[in-house]
Amino acid sequence: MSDETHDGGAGGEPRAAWDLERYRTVPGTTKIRPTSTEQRQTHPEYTADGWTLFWMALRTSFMSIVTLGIYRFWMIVRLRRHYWGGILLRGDPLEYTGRGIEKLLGFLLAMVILAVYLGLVNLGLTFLGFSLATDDEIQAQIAFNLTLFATLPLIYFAQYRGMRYLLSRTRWRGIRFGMGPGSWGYMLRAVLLTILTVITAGLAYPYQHFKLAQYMTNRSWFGDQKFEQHGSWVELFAAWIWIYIMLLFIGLCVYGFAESGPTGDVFSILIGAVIYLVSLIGLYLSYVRYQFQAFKSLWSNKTLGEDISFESELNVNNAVGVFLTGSFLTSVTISVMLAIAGAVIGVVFEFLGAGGDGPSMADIFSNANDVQDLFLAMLRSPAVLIGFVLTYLAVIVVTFAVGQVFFTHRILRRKVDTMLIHNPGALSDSRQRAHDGNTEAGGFADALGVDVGAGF
Amino acid sequence: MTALEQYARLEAGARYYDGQSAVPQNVMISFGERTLVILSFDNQVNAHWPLASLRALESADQTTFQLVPHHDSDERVVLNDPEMMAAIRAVCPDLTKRSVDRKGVRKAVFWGAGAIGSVLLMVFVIVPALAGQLALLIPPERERQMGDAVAKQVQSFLGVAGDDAYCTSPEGLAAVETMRERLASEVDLPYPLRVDILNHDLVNAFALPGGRVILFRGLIKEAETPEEVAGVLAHEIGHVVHRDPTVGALRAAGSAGIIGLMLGDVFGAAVVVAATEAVINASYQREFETRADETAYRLLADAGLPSGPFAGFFARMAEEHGSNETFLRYLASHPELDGRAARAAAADMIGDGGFKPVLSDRDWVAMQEICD
Repeated sequence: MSDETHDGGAGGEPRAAWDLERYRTVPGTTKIRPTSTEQRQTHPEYTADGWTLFWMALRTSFMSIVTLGIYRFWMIVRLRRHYWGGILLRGDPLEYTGRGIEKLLGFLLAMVILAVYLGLVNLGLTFLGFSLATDDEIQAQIAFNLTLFATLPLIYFAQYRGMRYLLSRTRWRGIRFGMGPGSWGYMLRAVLLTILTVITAGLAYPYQHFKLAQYMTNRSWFGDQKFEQHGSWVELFAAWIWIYIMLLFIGLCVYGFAESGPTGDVFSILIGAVIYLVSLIGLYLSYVRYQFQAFKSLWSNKTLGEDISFESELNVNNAVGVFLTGSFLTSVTISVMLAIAGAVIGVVFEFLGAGGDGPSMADIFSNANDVQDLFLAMLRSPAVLIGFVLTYLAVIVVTFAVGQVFFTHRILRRKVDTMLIHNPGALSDSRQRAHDGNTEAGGFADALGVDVGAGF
Repeated sequence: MTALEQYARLEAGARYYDGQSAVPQNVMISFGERTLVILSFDNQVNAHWPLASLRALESADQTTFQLVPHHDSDERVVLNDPEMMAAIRAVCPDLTKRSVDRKGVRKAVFWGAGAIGSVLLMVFVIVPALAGQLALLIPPERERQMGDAVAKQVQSFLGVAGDDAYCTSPEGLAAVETMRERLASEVDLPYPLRVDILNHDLVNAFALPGGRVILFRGLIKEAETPEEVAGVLAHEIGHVVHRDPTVGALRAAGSAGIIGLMLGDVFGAAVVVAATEAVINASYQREFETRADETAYRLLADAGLPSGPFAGFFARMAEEHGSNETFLRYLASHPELDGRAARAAAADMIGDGGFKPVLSDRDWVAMQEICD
């Protein structure tokens, strides 16, 4: 329930008749006057339900596969409506008004352009690679990297437009969010900053991250109030440096490994291997931790309009823990599924195979020399083939649904619940902004797979 | 209307947003005749929303209801009253229905056709045409380096060691040279045509960028007459003449990624993408093979050799190695066997007539023993 309006006699008791006079006796006001300290800051609430999400993700991802990917635009829209609707700010939910058909249209439009662009660029760059480079290895490398470099600007371009579509289709209290134009500027900056990051062996990445986030935030609006990104990249750098410490550690392990190598005793090699493995996981977790830290630092330095500021009280280590348990739960779910599916296929196959004239399962696996042989052998036995196709579908669908629940949903809850909004009363000062008619803006992001994520 | 009568006296407090500002206004909502009546206490808000067009967005925990008078409206009413929510659900069957955007669907069909068209145009017309032109612009020296690099990769893939990779008995090489001379003396290439015998027992042969042809030891062993080997060699020379290896690499680079775009990254589309790309490459391949065959028939005819043994060789291999999948796989990308035999027979200028054998008996023995 909103804390800024007075509860205007809500309650279910049916009254006798229409009595307009009665309303005048209810103490009510339409103006907001923050009176207590409670109203000077507020936490949004996250109320979305995990099971609803799970079934929704299961159903929609199945539909997406069956329709060869066409339904995925509607799937993303449905998932986003669920997530957005689960975020209550002062009792009023966020609202996602994107439409599947708009996303599909944008995607198709992007396809027309991308097919031509990518075809020509890939062809031209491969030609250049073949013609110019002298060394074979370098030649292959150059061709590959140039292709990547040709797609990179498009990816950044797409990211901005994707975000623009996302914001323009988000509302709160009927008031639209929005983002000004700037995809070309974003692309240019992003490419230059990426070059800087590559030159500095990744050390400049936090700077790139901060600058690009700032570029987007400073063009974002809620109604007629503008977001601003303050702060600096130094905070991000402090989290980023851990990755280098981990790398150093791994380097030392590898060095120690090489030194003790074949002459060292089994025990020390074992210890080295364990340390190596642990530090690899540590490296990955430092990256995850950096992402959460970046979210926290960036949001803690965002402001909206004249008076509103945000503060993220996200416990970063806690969030990493959520990520870890999510990974564990997901892999357990998938393993169990695979085991069950394997057993079922085995039983069904033995049952059918005994009567039929196809080869037995053992024959297939023992005679297969490589994956292709295996595949060809399976084609001859419909039962196994159907089993594998069904398993493949089931694993993909469940992995997706479980990922939404165990990762996106749980992490979003942490992020939303720990968000603190100072002076939220000023949110009501926002006036409506015009509809952003750029309906196909998200298309490039969808086509290049760099949308903000399937659900988020 | 009975349901509506039942709720006629129900009312509940809610928050109203006028779509112009984010200022909440306390209202009471109740049912009028086919409308939802929204009234504020000071009567500043007095709206009647038709129930037929009323739409709702439920929050995920179903404790908050956000009502919209119709799809495009900016106005909102937010309520938490469970009884009122149940009542609205009961009287508005279309509450969560979303209208189909017919104009959007028409546009989607149009652009969908455009997208598919542009992909097909790229994959089957523009990329092949450009690849063919660009291949001619690559400096011959670079093309040879490419060929050498690919040859090295193939060797390491097949596990053939560096020094013994190629068969080099002098008599055998001389025989190969004789055959090459007989077939390719008239062929115009920017680089010398180089034929190597790879010391491997697969029945296979292929052409590489830069005018290199590699015949496998297994193929020479399996051949019964030198004309059969000559047929295969002529086919590979056909690839070299058309620069198929280079053109193929360029085409693959140009069409790669386009299909991947179409299916997106969300689900295990990788399998479908790989399959589609395999089909595209096979269709490219088929085109190359047919063209190489035609050139081979011409080369054989120019050299005064029959093309029958060439087709006969493949037919025999298919019979003998019917179960050998490695061999079938090689055939799979090649033109259909029956048609191929028929075309070879049609192109045969010699028939049952006499011809000068491509190799003397002594040379033929030397070629067969080139690896010993």
